[in-house]
Amino acid sequence: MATWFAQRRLRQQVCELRPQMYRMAFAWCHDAALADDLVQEAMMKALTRLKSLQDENALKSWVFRILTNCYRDWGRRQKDTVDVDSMDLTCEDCPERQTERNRLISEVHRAMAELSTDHRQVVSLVDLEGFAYAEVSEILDVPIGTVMSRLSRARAQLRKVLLEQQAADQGQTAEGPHLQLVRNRHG
Amino acid sequence: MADKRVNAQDDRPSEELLNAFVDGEFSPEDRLETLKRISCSEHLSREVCDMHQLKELVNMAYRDVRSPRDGGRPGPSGRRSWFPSVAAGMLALVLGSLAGFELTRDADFLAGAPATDDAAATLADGNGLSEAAVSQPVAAADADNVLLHVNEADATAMAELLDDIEAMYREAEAAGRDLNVQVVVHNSAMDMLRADRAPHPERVAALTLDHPSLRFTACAQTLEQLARAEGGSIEILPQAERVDSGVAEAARRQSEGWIYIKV
Repeated sequence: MATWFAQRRLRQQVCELRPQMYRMAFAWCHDAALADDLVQEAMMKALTRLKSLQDENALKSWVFRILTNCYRDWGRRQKDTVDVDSMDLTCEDCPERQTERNRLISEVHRAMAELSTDHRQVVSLVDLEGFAYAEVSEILDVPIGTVMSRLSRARAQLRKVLLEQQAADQGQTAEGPHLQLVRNRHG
Repeated sequence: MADKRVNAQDDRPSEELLNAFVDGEFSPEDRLETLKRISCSEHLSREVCDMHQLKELVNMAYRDVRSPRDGGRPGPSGRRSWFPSVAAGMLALVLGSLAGFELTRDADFLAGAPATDDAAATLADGNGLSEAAVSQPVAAADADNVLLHVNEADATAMAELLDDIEAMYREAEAAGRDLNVQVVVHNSAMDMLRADRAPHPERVAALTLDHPSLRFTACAQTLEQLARAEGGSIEILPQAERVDSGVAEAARRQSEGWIYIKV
């Protein structure tokens, strides 16, 4: 009973992380239902193991580490590879599908989907949730130098893919590519 | 990070360090020094600008991604997941029976919204009480609302329960929070509130006097069964109230967002 209120507060904080967890899971797998499952599983584990949390201040990275492990476990269970071209990355039927913003979003989703899992996780943890490199290192259980090199390579590949996509679009649209300032020194 | 700041070959920050700079990983001193170096090179300036742009693009691409249960659009996949509802139910059961509290609140959050009808229905369906549960709106606000569900208890367990209630009120008072506690008694625990058999009537009276937000409620169905079995009406303590059904009352409180504790 002594830690009753503290446990309750932590539980609430875990539950409040749900939207961020979902966004992260979706960025990793690009599958709405799977992202939902992963978040659900991670939250269930987090809530039932809350007493094992050593440092309350590390709650967020602890929860995302659990999510990472859930995603990793899911990956291990998969025998077949997922064909990126067969993935529905954005809604196909909504009217705004044709807007420029959605086109960009779609391109970024596709570029992200082409990254390796390791690279995609690092980029999304840093760019979506703003985790510090040290936190990402802890969440993914890799050295900080690995975080830095993965991030660097991931962004280089993202740039490359986005430029290729825009180059392909150039012939179809009058408007020039959005990443005009981006140069690709890696390929 | 400062020792790796410069690439020895061309005196420019490495790609990793430029990323770290963009991600705000540098100390203020390192950041200032790197900024000076970047400002001296048009190439570096544009590269850093590109990195910022890419970072912003990635962020923008997922900014509006929301779970369908959070009100976002349905996902592109046609698969309707059975796992979340089962998991929510499982979690509710696990937390309810093992941890013994916070069941409803957690299940509600897992369902993606505070105390939604879906969550209430999930919980209530398991008990066959969906109508009673779903009909109630959310009631939990700033106060902690705790339901203690007692259907089996001997005199010792009852004394411990009263101790726990006292402790909860002490903690709430120390934390400066309001606390509402309702004890729902039915089945073989009814002795706790029976006028002729209650093991601790004076403590029940004292507690309700000290804490007006504490309610002891007795299941009317159990009382009727006892009355039929014993041949006569069953009187309960004056501090206790009758509710139509103990189980239904527990489900109703859960649907209102009360913390459920199975004693």
